[in-house]
Amino acid sequence: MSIEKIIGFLRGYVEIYADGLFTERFLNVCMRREIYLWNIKRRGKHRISACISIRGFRLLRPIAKKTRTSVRITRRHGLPFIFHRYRRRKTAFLGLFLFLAVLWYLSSHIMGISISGNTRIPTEEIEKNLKNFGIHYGASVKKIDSEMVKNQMMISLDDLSWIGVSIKGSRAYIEVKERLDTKRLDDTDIPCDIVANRDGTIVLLEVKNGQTMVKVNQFVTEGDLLVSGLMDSEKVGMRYVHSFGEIFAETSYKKSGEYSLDFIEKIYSGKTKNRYTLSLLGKRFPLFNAKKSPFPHYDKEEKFIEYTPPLTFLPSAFVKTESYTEYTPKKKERTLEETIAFAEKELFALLDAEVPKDAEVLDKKITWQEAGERSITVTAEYLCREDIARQRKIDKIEILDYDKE
Amino acid sequence: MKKRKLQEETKPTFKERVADGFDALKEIILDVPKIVFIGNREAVIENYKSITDYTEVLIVLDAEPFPLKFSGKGLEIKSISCEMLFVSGEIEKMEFLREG
Repeated sequence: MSIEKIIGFLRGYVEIYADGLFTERFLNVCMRREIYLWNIKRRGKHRISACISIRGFRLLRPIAKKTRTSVRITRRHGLPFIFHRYRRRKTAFLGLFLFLAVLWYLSSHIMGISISGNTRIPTEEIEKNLKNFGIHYGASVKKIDSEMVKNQMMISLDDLSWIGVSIKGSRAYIEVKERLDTKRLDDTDIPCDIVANRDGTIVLLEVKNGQTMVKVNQFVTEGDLLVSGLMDSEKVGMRYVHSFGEIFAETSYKKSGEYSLDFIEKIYSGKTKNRYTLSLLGKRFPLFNAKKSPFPHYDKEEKFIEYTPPLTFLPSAFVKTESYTEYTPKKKERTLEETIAFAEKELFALLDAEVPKDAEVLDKKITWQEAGERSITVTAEYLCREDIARQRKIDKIEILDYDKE
Repeated sequence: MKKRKLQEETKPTFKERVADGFDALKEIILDVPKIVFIGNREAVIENYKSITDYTEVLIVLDAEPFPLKFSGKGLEIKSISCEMLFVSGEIEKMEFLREG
C-alpha cells in the first residue's frame, strides 16, 4: 500500500462518471484549474470515469456547466464517508476519541526512567532530583529540556562527574558517571591545605609540598590542619602553594553492641511464601490479602524486578516479590564465651565493612563488660594505619602586599 | 564544402545551446514535452499543453512544437495534473504530428 493510497483513503475520494460530447475539454479545464484526477477510463463514446478528491469534486460544478458534461457519483471511498455513515453512533466516536487520547498520553509522557551507571549515589536520590527538574512519571516529554536537566543535576549532585539525559519515545534514559576521587584536587595550581580526615596519632609524615604544622606522635582530630598551603620564606615571602603529601596515622574504629546470654534460635520449617506487588506508574497494586500475616514468625526478603515492554512508549511494570520464610522461635541459653565469640564475629564483620580498603589493620581487640543481669556489652576495636590526608581548597585568597613594599 | 554545409544546417539554435548548459531543465527552457516510457505499458508526459482527443485506442495531446499521438489498446489516463500526464495501457505507437 503506497503512501498516496493511504492519504487518499484518509482524505476521501469519489468515483465519477462524466457524460458529455466534450470530455477532453472537461479534462483540460480540470487540469488548468489544478483539480487532480486519476484513473481516467473511457467508458463509451460520450462517457469517461475518473477518480477525484472530495475537495476537487466541489469545484466541479461550474466546469461541468461550462463544458456541458453531466457528472454523477458512482462510488464513495475513504474515511470521511465512513464517518458520515456512522455519524449517529456517538459512543463509538467517544471510544475512538478515548483511544486516541490514551495513545497520545502514553506516547507523549514519561512512562519509564532507566538510571544506569551509579554505584555510590542511590537511585532514589537521582530520581528525587530528576523529579525536581521535571523528569518524573507522567511528565510531558515536550517540556523536558535535557540540557537544563543535565546542568541542574550536575549542580545539585556533587558526586556526579558526567550525566547523560536522553529521551527515547516515552522513556528517559539517565546515564551517570560518578567522580572517581572526591578528595584529591588534581589541578596543582589550586592552593590548598591538608586537613585530617580522621582522629588519630601521626606516625609518618611525607609532605611533598606545603608547610607542615604537626609532628610525629601528635594526636590530631578530624578537621585539624596538618599541612598549610600558606608558606613563608625569606626569599620569596608569603605565598600560596598546592600542598600535597601523605600523612599516616594510627586510627581506631570501634563498634559495640549489647548481647544477651539468652537468645532465640530460629528453627526454619522450610516453608516459604511469596507475595507479589505490582507497581505501575508509581501506583501499587498488592496481589495478595494484606490483612493476613503469612506466618506467625518469619524472615522477610524483598526483591524488585522491572519489566520493560518492548515498545518504549509503554510504561514499565515493577514487580516486588516479598518472600517469607517460616521459623519457630526457641529460647536458648549460651555461655559467656559463646556470647563473646558470637559478638566478635558480628562486630568484626561490621568493622570490616567500615574500614577503608587502603587502611592497614594492625590490631584487633575485643573487650566486654557486664551490662545487666544476663547481658553483656561487647566492644570491638580495630587499630589501623592509614593515610589521613585530605586536601582542602583555600577559598579566600588575601592579597599579599609583601613584595610591593 | 558540401559536408560543411550539411553540418551548418543541423547546427543547434542559440536556445538549444543554452539549454544544453542546463542539462536537467532542458524541456522547460525549450518548452517541449518530455516523454518517459516504461516499456510499452506506461508513459509519463511532462510539459504538455492539453488533451485534444481521448479514447481507448487513441490519445492525442497538444504540445509544442508538434502534437503527440499515442495509439494502442486499452489506453487510460492514470493521473492528470498541470505538469504531467500518466498514460497506461498497451502502447503500440507514438507519433509527432507534424503539420503539413
